[in-house]
Amino acid sequence: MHILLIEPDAVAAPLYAAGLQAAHYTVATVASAQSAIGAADQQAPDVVIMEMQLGAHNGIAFLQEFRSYAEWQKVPVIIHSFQKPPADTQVLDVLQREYGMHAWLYKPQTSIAALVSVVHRLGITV
Amino acid sequence: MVVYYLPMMRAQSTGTDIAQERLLVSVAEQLKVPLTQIARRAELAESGVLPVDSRAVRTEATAALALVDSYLLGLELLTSQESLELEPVSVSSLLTDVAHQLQPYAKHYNVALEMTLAGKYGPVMAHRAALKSALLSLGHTLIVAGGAKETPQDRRVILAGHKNAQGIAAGLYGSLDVEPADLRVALSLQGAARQPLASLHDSGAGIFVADALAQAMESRLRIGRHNRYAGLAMTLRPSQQLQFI
Amino acid sequence: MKQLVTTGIILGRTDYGEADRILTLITPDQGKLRLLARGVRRIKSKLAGGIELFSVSTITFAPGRGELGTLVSTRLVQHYEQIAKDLQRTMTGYDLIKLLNKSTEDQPDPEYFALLKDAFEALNDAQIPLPLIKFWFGVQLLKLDGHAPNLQTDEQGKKLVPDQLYDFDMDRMTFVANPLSGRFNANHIKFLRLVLAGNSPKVLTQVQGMGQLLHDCQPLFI
Repeated sequence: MHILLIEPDAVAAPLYAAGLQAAHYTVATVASAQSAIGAADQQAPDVVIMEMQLGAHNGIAFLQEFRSYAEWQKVPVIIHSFQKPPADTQVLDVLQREYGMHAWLYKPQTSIAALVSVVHRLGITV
Repeated sequence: MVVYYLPMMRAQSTGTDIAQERLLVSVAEQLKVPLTQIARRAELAESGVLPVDSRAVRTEATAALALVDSYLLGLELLTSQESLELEPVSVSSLLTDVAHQLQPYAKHYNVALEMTLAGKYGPVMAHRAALKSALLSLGHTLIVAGGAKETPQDRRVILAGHKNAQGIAAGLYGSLDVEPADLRVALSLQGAARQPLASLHDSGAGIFVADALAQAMESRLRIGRHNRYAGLAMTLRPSQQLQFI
Repeated sequence: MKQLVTTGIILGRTDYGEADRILTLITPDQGKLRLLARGVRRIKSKLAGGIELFSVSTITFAPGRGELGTLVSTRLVQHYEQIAKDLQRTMTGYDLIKLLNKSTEDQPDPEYFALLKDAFEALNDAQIPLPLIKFWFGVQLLKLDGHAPNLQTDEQGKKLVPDQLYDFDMDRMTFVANPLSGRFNANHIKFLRLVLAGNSPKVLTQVQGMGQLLHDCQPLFI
């Protein structure tokens, strides 16, 4: 399974990538929304794991762009962010329904093992 | 009893209290980053996925501690009843010192750190520890931002000093992509928004801490340009004393 | 090839073929435009920066024979970057764009472009509460669509008076006198008049008791 990891922190990105690779996933790592579109073009991801706080664009702007492409409309997205998930359930509902968000994981309280477990539970086999 | 008095206490909060609370929030948000890095690194070492990288842990922890110390120094100087004692400080020697301290962090983030000094000038009147902390704080923020860039020419931070009409400007420049209006808005949003500057992906606490320290020295951070790079600098008065020597 | 220049705000982007996109824009003078943007999926595309959401851009395009023109170039004029920093502001921005897109025929009046631009200005200001922006936008859209509420006379044609209580008839978009238990008073009506008069959300934040007035009036139009 191929994961597109959008992580602007250059030190943390290889740590998350290493954890996911150890679980036998292939990982493409990018730091920005624009690069993520390019990377997805090069190799279609089965899952996107993304930080919401990106420089220049935020995660929602990326998701709007990403979902506007027919071939990426059903790719599950896991938000893995320093932002806590929104308390407003309506917002969460919109994120799930319209942006295909599968889970929102709060980075400081999510181990890499837990992140891998969420990816496993998607049950995608390739 | 405490619950009864709390609303009265909050109603009396001054603008300064709110600003200080917000700065603390900004610093707390920023500290999540290195602490999470250290926690995940330890997890991967425990599970055998990556070897223990003690140098990385030391670099991350050192940066976090520097931020805390800079914040505490700013708080102490801004709330002190005594007037700040300024002394003549050599900008070139201070920038060299700061560059030396930032170098391991820059390497950690794969960012090129350079230093330039335009022209010759004498010392400035500053609080040495505050000026150094401000530049370190700025440096950490710009290095992290530089680390997120995808081309080598953008993964660059420059420590620079130069003369301007008001005095000597000392600051750091990188691919910040920010205008003066953005900085004004960011300063008003610090601690009240997770990402006060759109061009930075984090809380930018280093900038706000540096600005607090600059304020303690009766200066402020300003957007400046150095060649093609945008950055932040503070202008300090040249020392008059040594000119008579 | 004839080329025209206008100002535009992106309403949406959709796929077209392997490397192209269709952009839907609203402009003050060309109405709604649908333009083919060639090759913008490539990272290095020079058009990428000029077609940001929550932006106003200068658009150069070649009109097509049918309803689809071709995008030649764009230049970013203003990017409302504060919107992108806040999740709820971003999502509200998309909601407003969707609402406007649905409301507009192919040749909308220039006021629709101005309305969306003003909405972005408001969203870009963290001091202006989101519920106020949504309410204000909804009322302006009603006005532009020709469905503005009657804030001058009641359902019997009598002038609305300060010491009367009213309820609101959603079907007839007019106030109905209810002296005993009406939910709306003179302050509500004044507030609604200020909103309908096109005062900006920033100005409306200065209205005394705005929070409560907004809370009471919101169910009317949202």
